[in-house]
Order: sequence, then C-alpha cells, then structure tokens
Amino acid sequence: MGQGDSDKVIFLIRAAPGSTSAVATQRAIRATSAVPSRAVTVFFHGEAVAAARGPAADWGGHHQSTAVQLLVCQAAWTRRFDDEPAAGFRTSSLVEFWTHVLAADQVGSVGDEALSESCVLRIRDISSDRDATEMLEIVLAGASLEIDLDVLFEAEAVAFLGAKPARKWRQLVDHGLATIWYVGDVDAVDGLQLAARPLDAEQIDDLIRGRILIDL
Amino acid sequence: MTSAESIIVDGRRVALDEDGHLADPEQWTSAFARALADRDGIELSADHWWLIEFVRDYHETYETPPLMRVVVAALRKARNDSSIGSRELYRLFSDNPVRDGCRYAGLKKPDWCI
Repeated sequence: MGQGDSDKVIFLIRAAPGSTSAVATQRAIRATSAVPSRAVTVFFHGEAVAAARGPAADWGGHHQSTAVQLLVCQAAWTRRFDDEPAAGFRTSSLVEFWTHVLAADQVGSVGDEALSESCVLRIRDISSDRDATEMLEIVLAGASLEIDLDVLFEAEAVAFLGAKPARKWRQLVDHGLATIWYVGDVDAVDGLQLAARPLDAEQIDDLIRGRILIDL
Repeated sequence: MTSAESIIVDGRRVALDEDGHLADPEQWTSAFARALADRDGIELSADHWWLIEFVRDYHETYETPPLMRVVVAALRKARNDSSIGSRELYRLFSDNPVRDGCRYAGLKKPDWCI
C-alpha cells in the first residue's frame, strides 16, 4: 500500500478504442476497479484519446470505494479534436502522467510494484510517425523529471531504429536522457541512426527486474 | 503584442501565427529576433543569442525543441560553470525560456504538454 487509504493504480492506454489491445486494457481496468479501496487513474494517450468522445461510465469504477480518474493527454487530444473531452474526462499533461506513475503502488495490469523511480519503457510496435513522436514525448516527459529511463525496442519496432524519424530519438542518447536497447535481428537495424545497444532476449529480465515497466 | 498577425522586420512585414510565432520558419533571420525583442521591450544579450542559436541547432538536429534540463546542461558546458541552473534561463525569458527561445528562434510553438 502506498500513502493514504487506497492502493494507487495507474493505467496507460494508447491503443485506439475497439482495438484488441484497448479492449484488453479496458477489461483489466474494470477488473482492477472492481476491487474495493483502489484509486485508479487511467491516462489516455495517442489514438486512445478518442475514448474521451464516449461515455466516461465505460471506464468508471464498479465499487463504491473505488475512485477512477480519467485523464486525457492534452496534446494528443488537441492534435485530433477541436472540441472538449466528454464529461468525466479531464485533460492532463505527460508530466502529470509521470507524477502519477511515481506515486503509484501499481502500474498497469501486470501487477508491477512501483518500488523504484526507475522505469523501462517497452515498445513493440509503432504504427505511424505520429505514434513514434507521441511515444517519444512520453519518454521526454519522464526525462524532464530526471527519471532513470531505459527504452526497449522489441519485435516490429526494432526496424524503426533504422528509419529517418528515429533521428528525433537520438537526443535521448546524445544528451544522456535515456538508454535505448533493442532485441532482435541485427540486420534489421543495419544503418542504425541511434546509439542503441543490443540486448539478448534472456537479458530482458535483468533490465526490467525491480523497475517499473510500461508498455507503450 | 502590438500585432498578433505580423511584425515589421527591416521594413518588411512578416506574418506571425496565432501563437505569435513566425508563421513561416524559413523566413527567420537574426533581424526577426531583434524586431521581436524591440516589440517585447527586451534587449537581447549574448546569453539570449546563445539560447536562440542552441534552440535552432537542436531543432535542426532532432526536429524537437530541447528539454529545459538539456539547455541547462549545455549552458553549463558552454560557460564552463557548473553552478548554472534554470534560474539563469528564467532571467532571460521569465515566462518559459524554452518556449520563448523557440519563438525568438522562429520555430513553431511546441504543441506538446511537457
């Protein structure tokens, strides 16, 4: 338990409403908010901000003593919509997201104990340049708070490291803001534009152990 | 602002966007920064110019504005003075040094919420 009477749990959701990932996360949020005495925060980012056009009740707590706070990234929202989020949602900042992460007892649905101020951000898929930019903004917001950050590229996302938009990410390494790792075929990052470090699959547990893991 | 739409630079009218930033970043010149400073009632010092050039170089390299902590670290290095902090930057632009640095550097207002 953290400070106060409730367990503080935060979810980051980036997938578009209705997608397999979003539905799974929503299910996890419902399960979490069904437990009494939880203070649940849901932070909508990327394509997920479209959820704030629908009823907040879809994300609400299912127990009287459970409070669910629905926060929508202001920048991600204004890039997509001209109106205001629906009642029950509140616009917020990435800095506020990280503040919640650091104060949380649990981050996401996998039960990670937020025991440290050290985080691993895992990226497995990047759907577009905007998706990549908005993921980078999450990393930069964490870096602005001087959080110890590692970014782990896996699976399909590894190919991004060799792409032109990856130059934006180079600042993380050049200015000591985060360490970037990748797991995968070295050929896939031939022509690497980033000073990313290779990691064996069996080393992932060592990287993650004792740290907050956030899947972007 | 005397005008939300334009500013006179070397006798030529230059358009600003709705945020008061240069509408076309390609039109940036040091004269634009001086004209902006005249309008804002600021005298640009060597440190102002250092910040403007740093922000421009950073944006050219990474396509994003720098974080405040990056600017502070770079200024410490440039001045070889480890005691420098964000306070020195707020003395240059008291509202938001990085955002104002972008404005004077002819860049768009950052649309992120950091």
